[in-house]
Amino acid sequence: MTDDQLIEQFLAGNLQAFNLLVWRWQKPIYNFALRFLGNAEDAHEVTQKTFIKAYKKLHTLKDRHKFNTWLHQIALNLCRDENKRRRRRTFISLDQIEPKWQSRLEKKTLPGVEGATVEKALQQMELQQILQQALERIPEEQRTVVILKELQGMKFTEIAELLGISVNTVKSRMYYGLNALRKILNQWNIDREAIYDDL
Amino acid sequence: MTCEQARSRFMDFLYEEIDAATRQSLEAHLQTCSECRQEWEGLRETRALLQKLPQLEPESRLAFTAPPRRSLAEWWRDARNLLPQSGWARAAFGTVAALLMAIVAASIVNLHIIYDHGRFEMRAHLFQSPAPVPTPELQEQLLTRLRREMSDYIAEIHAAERAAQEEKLDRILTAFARDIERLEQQRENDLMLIGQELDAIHRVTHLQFGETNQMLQQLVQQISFQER
Repeated sequence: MTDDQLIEQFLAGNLQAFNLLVWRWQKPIYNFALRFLGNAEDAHEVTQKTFIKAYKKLHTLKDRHKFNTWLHQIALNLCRDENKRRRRRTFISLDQIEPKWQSRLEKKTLPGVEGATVEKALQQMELQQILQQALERIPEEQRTVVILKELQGMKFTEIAELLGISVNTVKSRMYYGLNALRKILNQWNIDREAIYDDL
Repeated sequence: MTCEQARSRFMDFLYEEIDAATRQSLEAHLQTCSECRQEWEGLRETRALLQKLPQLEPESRLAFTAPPRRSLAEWWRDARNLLPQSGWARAAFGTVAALLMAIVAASIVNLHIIYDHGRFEMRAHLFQSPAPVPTPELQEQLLTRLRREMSDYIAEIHAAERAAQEEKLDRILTAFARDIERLEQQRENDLMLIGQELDAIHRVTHLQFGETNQMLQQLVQQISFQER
């Protein structure tokens, strides 16, 4: 059953149709928020809020084919709100966010862990953390486009519509975002070959 | 293709949203330009890295349920939570509520409270009681009083009407006198104008007579001269 049909059924009073939409879209929205905020707890909260808002406002969605874009738009706004709250809440100096995994990664060893499989799994986790932290370092507008394109698999036109900007601006932000990520990873002296080997 | 043009196509190329001709042109440029090739490789590697980020499962699945029907006990508990919590506030709230209930009850049972020369009387009944039948003496007294009041009332109306008529008559007479005065003034003006006009006619006639006499005299002189 398509999203359109589920929306129609929900608007006709079928609550289970909305639960099917939640079941279908919870994971993408959660991962979007997770990559945007870098925190599972906050991502879970934003996901919850996104669906609560969608539940209340779904009747205002004019073009039901754009449910995906509309839902991401809600999630994005909530993520931005969450970021603003964080900025008000905490001020951390740059010295405090020195990556702790760097030295261990370079040595390619994990203290107190034996066995290649366990070590590889842990290194994979650390590499994911590296990428997540690199994502959090690039400007928010670039990060948004990178996540929507690369992780959510949206088309450039969909992203442009979601953000209310031109397709060329989206491509430009994507270009600068990827370059910025590359520079950050280079600054951290991440051994590119090692990353490929481990992943 | 220039380096700038190549860079502007990188995203289309990276996400395979590029036509064949542009792709060939871009590939040809990358083979010749080491700087662009290096940047392109960097972008491709970064993308490859990002693709390794897994899609994680949320810790728990969300589900929406219809709000449950609330029992009477829950309504009562919620209502109690709305009441003030402190002792004094509760006492004040209770007093006001009791007073309101007493007023409502009193209005329902038609409560009458009478205090007359030290005599206090309170009556309450659900339906209006019939009015008491007056005695003949009381009826006579009431009739007399009614007649007197009606007579006074009629006299008052009559006097008011008469005063109004007199006032109206005064206004008419005053207006009439003003009209007569105005007409008299108009007549005097007219007479004066007629006199002036007559004087003017008299002067004109006199002049015309003078001129005629002069002409006649000249004529007589001419005739006499011719005869001679």
